[in-house]
This record gives sequence, C-alpha cells and structure tokens, in this order.
Amino acid sequence: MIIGIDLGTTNSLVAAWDGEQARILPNALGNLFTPSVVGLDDHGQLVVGDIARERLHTHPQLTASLFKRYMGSARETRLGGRAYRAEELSAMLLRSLKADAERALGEPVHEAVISVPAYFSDAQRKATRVAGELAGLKIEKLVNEPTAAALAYGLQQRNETTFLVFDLGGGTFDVSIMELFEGVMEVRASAGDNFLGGEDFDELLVEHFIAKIGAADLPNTALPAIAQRLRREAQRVRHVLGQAQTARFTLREQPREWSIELTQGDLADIFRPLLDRLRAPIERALRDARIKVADLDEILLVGGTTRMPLVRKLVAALFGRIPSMQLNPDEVVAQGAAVQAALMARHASLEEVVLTDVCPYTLGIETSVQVGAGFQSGHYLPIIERNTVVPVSRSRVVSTLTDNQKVVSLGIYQGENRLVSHNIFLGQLEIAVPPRKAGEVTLDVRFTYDNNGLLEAQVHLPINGETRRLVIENNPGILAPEEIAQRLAALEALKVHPRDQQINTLLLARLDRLYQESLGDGRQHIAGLAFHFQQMLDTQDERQIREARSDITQRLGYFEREV
Amino acid sequence: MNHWQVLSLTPNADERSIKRAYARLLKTHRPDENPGAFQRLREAYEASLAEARWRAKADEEIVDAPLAVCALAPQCAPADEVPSLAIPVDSVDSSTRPPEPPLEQMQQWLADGKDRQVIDALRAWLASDWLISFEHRQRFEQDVLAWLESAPHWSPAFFDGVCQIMGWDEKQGTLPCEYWRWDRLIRRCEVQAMEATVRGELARFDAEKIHGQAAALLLKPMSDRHRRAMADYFTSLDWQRFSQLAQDIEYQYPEVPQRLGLQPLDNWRDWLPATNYSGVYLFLWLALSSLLVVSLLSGSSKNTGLVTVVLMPIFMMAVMWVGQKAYQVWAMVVVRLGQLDVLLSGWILPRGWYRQGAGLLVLRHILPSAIPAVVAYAWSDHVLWLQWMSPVVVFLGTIYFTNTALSGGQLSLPARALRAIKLKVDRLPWHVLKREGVLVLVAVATMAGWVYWHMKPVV
Repeated sequence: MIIGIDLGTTNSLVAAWDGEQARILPNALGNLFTPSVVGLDDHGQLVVGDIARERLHTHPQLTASLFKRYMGSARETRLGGRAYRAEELSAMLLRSLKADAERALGEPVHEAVISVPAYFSDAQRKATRVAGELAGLKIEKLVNEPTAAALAYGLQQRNETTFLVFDLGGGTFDVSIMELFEGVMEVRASAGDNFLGGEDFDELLVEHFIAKIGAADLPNTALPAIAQRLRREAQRVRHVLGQAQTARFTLREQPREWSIELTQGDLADIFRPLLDRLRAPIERALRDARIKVADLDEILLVGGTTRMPLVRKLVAALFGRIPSMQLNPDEVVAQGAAVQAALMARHASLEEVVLTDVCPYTLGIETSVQVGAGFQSGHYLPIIERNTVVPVSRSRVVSTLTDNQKVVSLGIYQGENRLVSHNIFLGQLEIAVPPRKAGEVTLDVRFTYDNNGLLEAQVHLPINGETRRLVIENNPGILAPEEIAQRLAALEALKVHPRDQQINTLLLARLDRLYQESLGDGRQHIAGLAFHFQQMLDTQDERQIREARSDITQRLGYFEREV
Repeated sequence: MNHWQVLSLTPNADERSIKRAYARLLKTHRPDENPGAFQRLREAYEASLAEARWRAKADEEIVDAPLAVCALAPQCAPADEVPSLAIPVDSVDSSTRPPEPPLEQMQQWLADGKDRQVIDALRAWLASDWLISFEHRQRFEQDVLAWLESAPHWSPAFFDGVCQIMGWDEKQGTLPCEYWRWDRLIRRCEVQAMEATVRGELARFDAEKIHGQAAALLLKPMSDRHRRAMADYFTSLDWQRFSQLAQDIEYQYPEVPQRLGLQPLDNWRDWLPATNYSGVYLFLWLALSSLLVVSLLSGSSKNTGLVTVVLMPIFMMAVMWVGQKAYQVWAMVVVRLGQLDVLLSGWILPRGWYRQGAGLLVLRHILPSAIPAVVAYAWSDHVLWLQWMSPVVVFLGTIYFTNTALSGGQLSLPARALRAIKLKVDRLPWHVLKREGVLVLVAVATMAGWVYWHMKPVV
C-alpha cells in the first residue's frame, strides 16, 4: 500500500486510495489534520501534532514548528540538547503520520508519495526525500501540490476542461494551469512564491498589533513564548474575521492585557502588500501557458489560507468570476497525493489516467561571454526552459575558454535571470579535460529532469568519448549519504511518546497552555480543572478518566469561546 | 521518423485528432515508466500541435482577409460593452467601470503624440480597480500594444516610460506579446534613437561648424573641396566617430539616411586616413637600395664588392628618413593648398585614383612621387637601360603603394601576406610540443639517433 502525504507548513494529512476514492486517514486523536509541530516532552520522548502544538506556548525551547520553510537549507533548530535540521524535524512528523496510517489501515506502510510546493527547488525536493528516508518511508514520488489538487479535482471531471489551481497554503503559494483531455491531465504551466502563505499573513497581523500598541509598552515580543502566543492569536483573529465583521486581538501577560479592535476593512489594508504579491506568479503562469483568462473553465482554490474571504474576493476580482470550492481546500492536496500513489501502484480503477507535469523553473549553467578581447563570466545559459514537460532531457554544447585548459568547472543554477548572480546556485561540477587550444574541447552538457523534479547532470566529452554522470553535491542544503545514515541512527534512538496516552497528554498540555494564557479567576478555574484531571488520571480507571475528559473538554471549549 | 509518423497521423491532421493520438499513445509510453519514449512522443506532439495551429491560423487569415480592414477599426471602440462581456457573475463587484479617460481618447492622444497625457492616462487606468481583473488587464495590454504598433510617432523615451508603467521588462521575461512583435517595437526605438542622434549631430554642425563634423562628413551633401578641407583637420577622435557612425548606418540602420532624406557617402572607407605608409617606404627602400647596389656594382668602380652590398642599404635608410621628414613638411604645406589640390586632381587624375577627393591628389601625392623617380634617374646614369626604366618603375610603384595605403579598410599586399603566414603558423599544433609525453618521445628518439650514429663505425 502506498500512502499519500500532504506535508504542509502548518498542517499535515495522510490519505490512501480505497479502490474508489481517496480517503483521509485520521490520526490517533481521531483528527484528520496533524499540526506540523514536533517536540520533546519532559521525559525526552518525541511528541508530534496537537500535543506539540499546545506545548509550543508552554515549552517553546522543546518544540519546533514551521520547519518546512527551512527545507533545503543548512539551518538547524535546537530542541533540548541537540540541533536538528528541517529534514529531521519533518522525519519526526512523517514517522508519526506513518504510524497513524498504519493504525488506520491495519497494515504496515513502507512507501509514500509526498506532495511538495510546485516551486520547491532542487535542494528542497532532495531534502523532502531525505526526510522520508529518515522516517523509514520509501518515497515513490514527489508530487507538486497544485498538481495533486488538480488530480483530485480532475478525476471528478468527465469532459475536456482547462482550469487554474490557486494554491495558497500555510507557507507557500503556487499556481498551476491544467488541461484535461482524453484522460490526460496535463500541467501547462506552474509558477509560485516559496515564501508567501498564511504564516506571513499572521506575521503581518502581529507586526500591526505591535506597531499599534507600541513596542515600548509591550513585554519583549521577541521572547519565544510571547511570540508564539501572538502568532496563535493572529491566527485566531484571522479565522474569526472569516465570518465576523470585527474581532479583538488580545495579548495577556501577568498582570496586564493589551487589545485592539480589528475590522475586515483593516485586514484588507494590512494584508495589501501580500495580496499584491499574489498577482505576479499568476500572470507568469498564464503567459507561459499561452492561455487567455477567458479560456479558463474554472478556478480551483486549494490550501487553508484560501478560506480567507479577502483572498477569495481578490481571486474573484482577478478572474472576474467566482472560484470553485467544490472540494475541501485543506484536504484536496492529500487526496491528490493518494491518487498519485494509486497511479504509481497502477491501480486498476485508474488505468486510463495519465498525468504529465512541468519543471516550473529554468535550469542552466554559468557561461562566459566574449566582450571585446576578454571574457565576462557569470552569464546564464538555460538548458531546460521553465514549464517544459517532464521527464525531459536536454543538452547544450559548450567549449573551453583558454588554451591548454585542464579543468572545466560548471556552475549549475536555477532561475530566470540572465546573470547567474541573481539565480539560485544548485551545485558545482568539475571535469578534467585534455589540454588543447581554446574552443577545441567541446563538452556536451545534458540535464535530465525526472518526474520527481530531481535533476541529474551529465557531461560527455566527444574528444575522448568520455561520459560522466554527475550528481549535484557541495550544496549546504543537501545532506551527504553518510550523514543521512548517522542522523537516521540518532532519530531511531528517539523514543516516541506512547500513542494510546496521546489524548490525555493533549488535554494536559492544553490545560497548561490555558493556565499560562489566562489571568485572575479564569486562571483559578483552569488550575482547578487541571488538578481534577490529574487526580482522575491517578486513579487509572479508564471509565472515570473518559468521563472527566469529555467534561473538561466541554468546559474548556466554553471557556475559550468566552474569553 | 518524422513527428507525424511518431503519432501515426497524416500531416494534415487537426488539433483534435493530434490530441487524441497523443492521449492514446501516452497510455503505452507513460512518463514515469519510459522517459525516453515519452520525451520523443511529447516532442512530436508539440511539433505537430504547433504546425496544426499555425496552419489553422493561416487558413483563418485567408478567410478573413477581406474583412481585415473592418476588423481593425473597432479594436478598442466598444469600451462600454466590455463589462457585460467579461463578467457574467453577479456577485463580483460589478460597480467598477472603466476609468477615465476613455480608450479612444487615449489612442487619439497617442496618435497625435501627446505623450504627457497618454502617460498620465495609463497611470490613471493602472491605478483603477478595473484592471485588477486579469482579463481586463490582458485586453488593455493588447490595446496599448496595438496602438504603439500603429501609431507613427513616438519617441524611445516615451516607449520606455510606457514599459515602466505597464511593467514590461525584457530582462524579467515579462513581455506582453511574442518575442518577434516585441523585437519590432524595440527595433523601432533603436532606429528612432539613431535618427535623433544623427539629426542632432547635423543640427549642431549647422549651428557651429566645430561640432558634429563626423556626421556632416558622412551625410551632408557638399562639394569635394569642402569635404577634403574638413577631413584634413579631423582628429583621431573625429575619425573614430566617423567610422563608428558609418558602420552603424551601413550594417544596422540602413533605413535611417533615407528617413532623413540624406544620402551617405558610399565610399566612406576611402576617406579614413591611411593607417600607415610602411608599404610605400618599404618599396622605396628596396627599390632604391637595390638600384644603388646594382648601379655601383655594374659601374666603373668594381672594387667596393661586399661592403657596398651591406653599406648601401643602411645609407639608404638614412636617406629614407630624411625623405620622410621632408615629405611631412611638404604635407603640412600642401594641406593649406587643399582646395586647389582637389580642383586640380579632379581635372587631371583618372576617377579610380581621385575617388571624389578621397584618393590620390596631384600636389599631395603625385608630385612627391616624382622626387624618388628623379633620384633613381640620377643614381643610374651610367647604366643606360636602368636610367630609363628605373624612374618609371619607382614612380608607378610609389603611386601604387600610396593608393593602397589611402584606400582605408583594404589591406596592402605585403600586409595580407604577413597575416596569412601568421595564421598558418598559429594553426600548427604547437600545444603538442608542450605535452610532457611528446617531449619524452623526442628525447628518446634523439638518444636513439645519437647511439645509432656513434655505433655505425663499429659495424
């Protein structure tokens, strides 16, 4: 069984194909979403999901969130005594997701399809692969998120159609234009922004709050505990303003309370800079797909952030029509990943469907251009142009620059600028060449971009018939194989918090958080509830615990709505 | 196997059947299972689709041809009807109307060259809510593009401003149209910029004769005398400008002079100053010293021998140096008489030599060439056949080499020969010598040869 995983910035989901449709698998707590938060508990055991999310406030030093943003970079986050890379944190999350899937399916799971933002770079894709490996999953394929969404949507369509997927998630923004005909799902073009998502909206809201109250008056907002609380409050306000016209943004800290009133209109002004950034990727995708807006049959909204009325209004204004919300925007990517997994397994019910995707950015090498008598380096020579259908293999011929050159070093880049300094550096390759006069040694540089969005470069020297395959290394964002093995061992040593106790631990963590957040009488109330629940746990009577749990959960729900 | 055969179609298949064939074959050449076959299929599909679309478009144009005139006119006319076309959905804010000023007004302004108003109007439009919609924006962009293409007068600065406002940037790949259309606009800008430069230079020349001389020399109609007089006082910077301008016009902007109603010099290369007269001096030195040697050896005093052969050419060099200096003085004098010189040369010399004043001139070149001829006559007075032949050879040779030196751009015979030799030498596999392996081989071969040589007597 291959499962599909939507590894999101804020939430992650697992889904599987049950023979007729893609089904989201619930986690140990019975929820469909698992927050993308991991941490260590007081005993050094791994906690993931809702519990870790509650502990973000109470134990910011022991929990990590938003790590998807650092995928493919060398940045490390400290948890307890050790620093972890984004791959490892993702691996912890994947391990938990895998266990949940095994529990829900009742069979062991070894393979998975993971969705990644379409605009993820080579390094970010490789990091995602490594994360899967570290979690003990064989990654059959990486599927682009908007493509996955389109796949889930496209399966329900019977006739030919062209549509645009607008995927605004927690951390990334992707646009894909899809065409559907004769059972072929074709991605015409993809574009995106890797640093634009719901979390950025929250950040802007927090900034607005701080600016409005004045930083001098507030406690130190850079403290992790306060920052987390502000972020959560921003998220809450954003969700409330989804329905209500006004909402209060409140920060409580012993013994004071700060609060501002926000309306939908305020929100539109605060978010304007981010909303403006949504425009360019869409324009580029439309241009690359050579499609007129009028030819689009449908606009498909994907990703939790598209639930914001502001975003929906903007999309409606941009395209002059109401976007489609037929599918749950939070779940559709996971469903699509499950469909892709079923396609990989050649499930009989999907025999007639073929999907083709594109490479969303241009890949090329650094070259020198003759300027007068000398050469100027740093020019970009594209080999695979953006929005070429993958898998694809293209080659360009380059030659040596100086007499008796012994080594050719090829800088490999990704990006659209004609100067490499503005593009993303992927790696450097060095090849020894026989010394000849300048220009006499030619090199056939071949780039192969596979279905998973991973790049392989190959250099052929016609002069001596030598061919060398080169895997891109020397990139600080990519782990070396031996390092992977080492980190795998370290991760496996980490004990997982027992799954059957999760629901109780979650409640305790939530009580802890609410205790910290509230003031005065409310605080006393929470303390009482926590004491009561701890007493019930100590009795070890399953029935009593269950009753107390449901009672306290209800009270807390009421408490949180009231405050 | 061509791309039609890959899809097993005939070359006149339409878009629909291409797609169907592609979809059918895709089921057997899945991208994840057989990447190579998939790529071949994909390339065939894209090529066929492009061909079919192009054909469909060409057919359409033939059908539409008689209607083309009417089709152009209402391009932007029904601005009021646009909203009803674009947004069928009631919930989308339908209160937005196209902003002021109307499109026709803007087009009119653009056609009239009222740049300021057009720029302001574009700003007003882009700031409006109306253009938030991609559809409106796309249509607006196409309208602006079409006006730019059809409007006869606009400056590159104006175009630059429009690009900035509309966010069109070639470097970022944000172009509103296909590259060839964009290229045409850019080309128009460049031609206009060139035209403006030339016009400006000529105007400066008319105002004060010191500036813009390069452009004037190339493009202004004037008599040979005036042109010669102007060229004689050109500095090297002027010449650089002149040749740059002439090259640009010849290779990149051949239409510019026509647009300005001017005719550029067709023999501008002849006007460029001679790069060097080494050909002339080399010839004179060779000719005169060999004459001297021959006449001395065959003359009465036969005892000088080898000393003559070595000394005379050296002595000749000294003579040449004096002659060169003397000629420079003469040249300074004769430049003052340029007008007269051109007049005389125009009457006397054949056209191929004279070349509208750019070639040989009587006082400047022909007269000085007579001096070495006289010298040759004097030095060969005791050998009869030399006495009559050598002046003629020297005279004609000097004129020939002067003429080649004067026709700028053309290389003289010796220079060409030198260059050819250098090229051949460069082509030799010198790098082989630098390789250690070859060096070792040579060393071994030498040693073997040496041993063989020394062992021979023993055998």
